[in-house]
Amino acid sequence: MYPHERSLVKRLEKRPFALIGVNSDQNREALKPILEKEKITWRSFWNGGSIGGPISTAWKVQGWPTIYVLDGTGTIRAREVRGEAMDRVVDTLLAELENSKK
Amino acid sequence: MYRSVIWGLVLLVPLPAAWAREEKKADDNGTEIKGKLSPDDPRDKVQAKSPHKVHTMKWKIGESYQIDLVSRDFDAFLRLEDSAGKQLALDDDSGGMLNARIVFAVPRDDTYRIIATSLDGKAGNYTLTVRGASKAEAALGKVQADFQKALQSAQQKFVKAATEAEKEKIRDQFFEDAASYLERYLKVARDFPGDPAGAKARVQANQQLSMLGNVGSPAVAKTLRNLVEKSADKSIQNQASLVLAKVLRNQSEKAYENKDPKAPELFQEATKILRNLADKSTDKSIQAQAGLTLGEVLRGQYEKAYERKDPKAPEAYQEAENTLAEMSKKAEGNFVLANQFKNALFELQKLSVGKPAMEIEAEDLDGKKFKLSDYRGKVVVIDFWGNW
Repeated sequence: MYPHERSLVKRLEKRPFALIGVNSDQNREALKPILEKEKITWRSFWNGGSIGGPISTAWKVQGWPTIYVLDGTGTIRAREVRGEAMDRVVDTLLAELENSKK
Repeated sequence: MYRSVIWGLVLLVPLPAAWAREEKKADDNGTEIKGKLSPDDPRDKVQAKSPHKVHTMKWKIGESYQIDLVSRDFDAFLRLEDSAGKQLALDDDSGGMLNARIVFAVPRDDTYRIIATSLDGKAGNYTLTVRGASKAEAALGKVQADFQKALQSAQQKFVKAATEAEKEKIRDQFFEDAASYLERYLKVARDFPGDPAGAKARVQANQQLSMLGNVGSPAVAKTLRNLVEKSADKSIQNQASLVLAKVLRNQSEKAYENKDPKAPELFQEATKILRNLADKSTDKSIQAQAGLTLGEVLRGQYEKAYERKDPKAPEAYQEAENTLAEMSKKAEGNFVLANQFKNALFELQKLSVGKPAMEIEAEDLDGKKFKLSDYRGKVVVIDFWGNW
């Protein structure tokens, strides 16, 4: 999981792209060394220390990880995509966004 | 019955109940062998990392046996071969816990080789029990053994397959075979009503059925159609209809991907079956499952239409929304089900492709507040995660 996300973030660092986590671990302090060790540089919302926290509840999350992909307007464009399929969606949406600016 | 079996008689007449009871005792007194797998024992030819021991049995045609391998020291694995070393059956966990069981109907007079080995490569003490089996147990055992063999051979082919396409082909073939095992399990259940082995066969058939819901093969659809039309068992019939609808939906998704013109037709049939079950099924559980599946299917259809920029996408959305709203109203008396429909409707309205993402406003891991909408103008992947 982490290596794939790391390489995606690295590959797209100069593009209009962001990976946003919603983290459901119990302890924020205990997580810090892991962020460092795994080089998790992307930002995460704090789900209140529980998988039943307010954000995952509002989004009806039932399994982890759960992925949503949004375009530049904040519209959901894909869900339940992983790995290469996720990369493909992201690349398509980036091309769409960058073309619309030209 | 078992005593007669042990005496080598071929049984053609059913025995009176009193006899059957007496025989039950005889089967409790089957042969029990205490054995030990030592780490130095030769490796087994199938479980290549595990030591094995061979026990030979002279059996006659028409007899049936249940073989149990029980161990506290290792994950028991049983194999059965004929005198020429041809593998006839294998099993890992059918005996409950990690214990192995094979039920075997003897096809010809021979000296058979029971191979006691382990799945995990470990050694230790074991108990091997061999007792006569009833006709029902033997019939069920035969189907189970054939299914285990098919599963093992499919797994081996799957691991060796080089491409995704090959893997998919092996998987499809396996599920097509699984559909035929379903019919064989149901036959055992029909042939031995009231027998525990018959009841077990029915449970197996049900498991086999629900496994087929993830498949999109026309051959599986055909088997299911056959069951829906001909099965005398109402509950199997209902279950088969529900699974058939799922298979047709999967087929239609594949057809859409391949731009096959049959896609809408398959989809229509799937939704028609689901609607029918959701409206009219007398089985409450089937009715609820069909309704929820219908909601999922319609939502998927809308999302697919949106993704391919199909002008019919708004229409598909409306159909999904109306259906879910209607069903959640109908389910009002049932709190749990009504809630499930309400959730499904919410997911359609707020969490589907083509819908604006809900705002998130919360602290980050350093305690600093931020909002999802801060990232407007960028492509965003939201990843619900945890370090576990």
